Amino acid sequence: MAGLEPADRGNINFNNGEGNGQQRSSKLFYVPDGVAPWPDQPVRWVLEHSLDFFGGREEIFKQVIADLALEPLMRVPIRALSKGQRKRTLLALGLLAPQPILLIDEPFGGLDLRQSREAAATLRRHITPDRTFFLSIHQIADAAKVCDRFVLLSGGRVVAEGTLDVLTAVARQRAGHNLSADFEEVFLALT
Amino acid sequence: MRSRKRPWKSLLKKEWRELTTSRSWWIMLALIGPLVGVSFINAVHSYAEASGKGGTAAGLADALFPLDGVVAPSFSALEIAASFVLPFVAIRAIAGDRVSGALKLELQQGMTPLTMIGAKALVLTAGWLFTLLPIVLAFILWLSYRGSLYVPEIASLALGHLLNAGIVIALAAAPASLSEHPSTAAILVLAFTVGTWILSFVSTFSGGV
Repeated sequence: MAGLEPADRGNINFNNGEGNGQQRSSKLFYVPDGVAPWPDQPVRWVLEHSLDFFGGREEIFKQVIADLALEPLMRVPIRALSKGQRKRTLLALGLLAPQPILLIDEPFGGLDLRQSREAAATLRRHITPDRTFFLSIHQIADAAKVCDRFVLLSGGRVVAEGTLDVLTAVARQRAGHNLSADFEEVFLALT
Repeated sequence: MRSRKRPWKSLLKKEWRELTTSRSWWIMLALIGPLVGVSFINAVHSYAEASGKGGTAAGLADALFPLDGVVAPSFSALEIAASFVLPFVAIRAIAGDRVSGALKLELQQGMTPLTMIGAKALVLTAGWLFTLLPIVLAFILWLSYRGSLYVPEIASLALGHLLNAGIVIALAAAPASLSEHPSTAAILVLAFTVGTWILSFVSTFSGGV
C-alpha cells in the first residue's frame, strides 16, 4: 500500500480515481514500525531534514515538538533514544509529512500508558478535514482510544468494517445480545 | 509547507552529513595520512640513494624521474586505502539506510533509486577526494626539497586513482544493495579485491596466470 514492495494484486483509489506510483507518494506517507532512521543524527536534524526532503508542514513544527514532548531530545542522536522516544520521533516525522493520508504502523508501540494516551490525543488533535490517519494497531484497547472507524483483519482478510457501534451491533447479532460493548470482546466475536 | 522543488539538494546535504559523521570515513582519513607519509619518506630515501648520492650504477641517476621515484610510490598508499578501507565506507553509506529503515522513508519521496544511489556515489567520490590532501602535502614537501613535479603527470595519476575508487565504490554498492547484512557485503568485496591482488601478483612474478 505504501509502495515500498512491488504490488502483487489490488489497486488503490484516491477520490474514485486509481492512483499510480507518483500519486501515491504525493497522497500517502507511511511511518513503519521498528525503524531508527539516520541513527547517528540528532532528533532536530532528522525532523528538519524530513521537512526539507519531503516538503513537510513547517507551520506545525513547533506544535508537534511540544505535543510529543520532544524538546529535551532535540540534540540526542536517534541511536541513543529509548524505544518510546524513538516512536515519538517517528510520530513527529509522520505528522510533519505533507501527504494528506498518513499510514502509521503500531503508533503506540513502546509507549507507556501515559505516553500512549498523550500520543493518541496528539494524533486526534492533528486530524483535519484534509488529513486522514490510518493506524495499524494490534492492541485493540489502544485502537478504541483513538480511531473513529475500524477495519478488522484476520488471517490477512477483512472480516468487519465500521464504527464501534456498527461493529458492536454486528458482533451481538453473531454472538448473542449478552456481548458487552467492550471493543476487545467485539473483536474476539468477529474474528 | 516547505517546497519539494529541490529534494536532490536536501538528499546531497544528507548524504554528505552522513558521510562526515561516520566513523569509517574518519578512520580512512586517519589511516591515509600515515600511509602516504611512510610511502613518501621511503620513496624519497630510495630516490636519493638511487640518484647517485649513495653511489649507483652509471646511468641509473639519469634514468630516474620523480614520477617513478616519488610521485607514483606516494600515490600507492591510495591503492591500499581503496582496496581495504574504502569498501567499508561505501558499504556503510549504501547499506546503512536500508539497515536503519531510513530507506523506507526516503523511497516515499518519489525519487528514482538511480538518483538516490547516484547521490551516494557522488558524495563518496567527493569524500574520497579528501584523501588526496596528504598527497598534496607530500608534494609540497617534495618541492621544498627542490624536487621537480610535472602537473599533467600528477593529474593523470590522480585521475587514475579516482577511477579506481569509483570502481571500488561501484563494486561495494552491488553487494551492499543485494545482501541482507553489510558484513556479507564486506566479505564479498574484500574477497574480490584481495583476489584481484593475488591475480596481479601471480601474473607479475610468473608472467601470467
